[in-house]
Amino acid sequence: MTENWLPKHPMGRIVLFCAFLFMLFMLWLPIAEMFYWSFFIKEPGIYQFNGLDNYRRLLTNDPVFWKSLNVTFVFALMVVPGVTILGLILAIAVNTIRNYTARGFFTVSFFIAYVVPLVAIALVWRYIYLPGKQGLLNVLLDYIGISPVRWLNSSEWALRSLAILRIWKEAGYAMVLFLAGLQSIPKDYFEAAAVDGANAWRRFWYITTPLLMPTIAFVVIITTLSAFLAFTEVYVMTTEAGGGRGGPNFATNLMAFHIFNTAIVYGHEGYGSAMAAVFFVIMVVVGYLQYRFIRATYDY
Amino acid sequence: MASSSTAHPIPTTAPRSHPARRLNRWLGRVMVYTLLIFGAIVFFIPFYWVFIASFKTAAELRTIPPTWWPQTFTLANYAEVWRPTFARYFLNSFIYSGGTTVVVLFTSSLIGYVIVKDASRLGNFLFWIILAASMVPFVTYLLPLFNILLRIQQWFGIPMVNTYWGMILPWVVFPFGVFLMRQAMFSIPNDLLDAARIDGAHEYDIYWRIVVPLVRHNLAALAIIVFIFKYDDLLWPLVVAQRTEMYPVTVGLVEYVGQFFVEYHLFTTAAVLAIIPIFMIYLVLQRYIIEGVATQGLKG
Repeated sequence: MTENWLPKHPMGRIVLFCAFLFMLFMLWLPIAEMFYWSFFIKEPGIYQFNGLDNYRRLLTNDPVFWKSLNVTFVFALMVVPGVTILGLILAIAVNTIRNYTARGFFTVSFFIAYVVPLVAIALVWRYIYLPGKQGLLNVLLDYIGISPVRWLNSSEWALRSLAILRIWKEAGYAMVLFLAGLQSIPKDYFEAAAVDGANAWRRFWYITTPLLMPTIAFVVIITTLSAFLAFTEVYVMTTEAGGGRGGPNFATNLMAFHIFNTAIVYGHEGYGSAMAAVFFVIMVVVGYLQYRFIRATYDY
Repeated sequence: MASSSTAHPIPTTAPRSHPARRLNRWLGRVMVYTLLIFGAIVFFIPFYWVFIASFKTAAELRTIPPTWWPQTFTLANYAEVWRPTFARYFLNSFIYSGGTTVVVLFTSSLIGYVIVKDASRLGNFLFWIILAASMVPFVTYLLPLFNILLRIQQWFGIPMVNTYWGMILPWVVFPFGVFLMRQAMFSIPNDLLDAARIDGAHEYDIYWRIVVPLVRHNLAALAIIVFIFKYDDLLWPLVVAQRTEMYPVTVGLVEYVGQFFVEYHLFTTAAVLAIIPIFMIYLVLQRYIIEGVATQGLKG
């Protein structure tokens, strides 16, 4: 739309120049260096060229990496639908309330989990997830007659526990976005459909869903991104059993945490960079697919 | 009027007064409220649980099953946790997130202004680059970024590790802020800026005297959100803040838990302390926070 390449005013040029300079040094250069390091054996005190060996080892001979990748995808597949569906249910429920105070009360209550610092709330949930009859969750399960679960300590439930926390935390965020989306749909549509005899379910399926599609796409993209980058929960909640964090049998060894652990805690900087490079490419692919998806839904 | 009662009254609210339908509507409302109240309880219980725990004695926290209300109410936990080191963590957190907030407000509004009101191809390009940057997983280039900080330290003699500006530096251009400010700039009429230009106002004065006051509500929303995000930041401070006296609350909390996880009374109290500032901010400013977040989803 604009024809000129540079801003007209000197201030604009300076601002753009500084912004590009910043992006270069704080983003593109580090990313380039990460790719560069991935071809080296780089440990504290060692720095030698290694060709493609890091990648060879990573892709053919590193079960922990594959496990982490698998766990990361499973985690995202649990969290994203959970957050989206729960957020949508809450938003629709809140949206039916006409009383201004009640509406505000519920919105504020559901949103608070999203605002509170994850580091602290993950700690709280670690306390809630205590095994035996010491943790709150097992106590509540006991009331309805379900035997206690060893949440974070069992390889079966550890990842689900993290997913539950994240769904609990982000559902309110999705709800706020959906609520804004719902309010932007004109009321006339629903009234017209009701007059034509469409029941509540049909009104939801044929009016709400299509008109809410841009918001749904946005929520899915944001939650996918944050689920793939989940780090804090693993760092705060999982036990130190087995020599490091990451859960029993690497059950919660999410990719962001695994990279951090390899490159920074254990100091395998070259190998960690190769891991980061693979993860980077995966994220680019995921991001591109979502970009295509959002483009299709937005009809640009 | 008396005679009219003998005639057939016109049923003005016929469909609504039908008993079955009224019952249906009433049942629906009861269901919605039940769902919402249940949801609110689920969202509140973790806060209640940890808050109550922080007032229990160490011995009581070990009882099985746990108590719903403290048998002996004590403030000793707070006295034990609130040491000078912990107070320092709070100070660091406020400087880190507060400093980031101030910087981000300035850069985001400036970049947003230049991109929209001094439109150019380069500006559009910058916007897309910044948007793409928000999709890049931070953990992948974390280590090279830290390396760049080390180099700045070596070559220019500017201390970076263990300093506040070193912690703030990577967030100077903040994608979410640029995105929000760009949206805000579209609402400012061009005529206003042109009028000021004709009057001979310098471009910087237009930005500072006209544009900033006009977008101050958006800036306020952005400020709260950035502050809350950065207060919760763990990964970057974990790498840059290496000395105890530079730890923000998040890192301090994690370290603290590393030492004391078996001592439930200490870490629950520490978690409550970390949550309280954000809780307060949220209760006072919740409307702006929710509005700020909600506008983000509309028209991506």
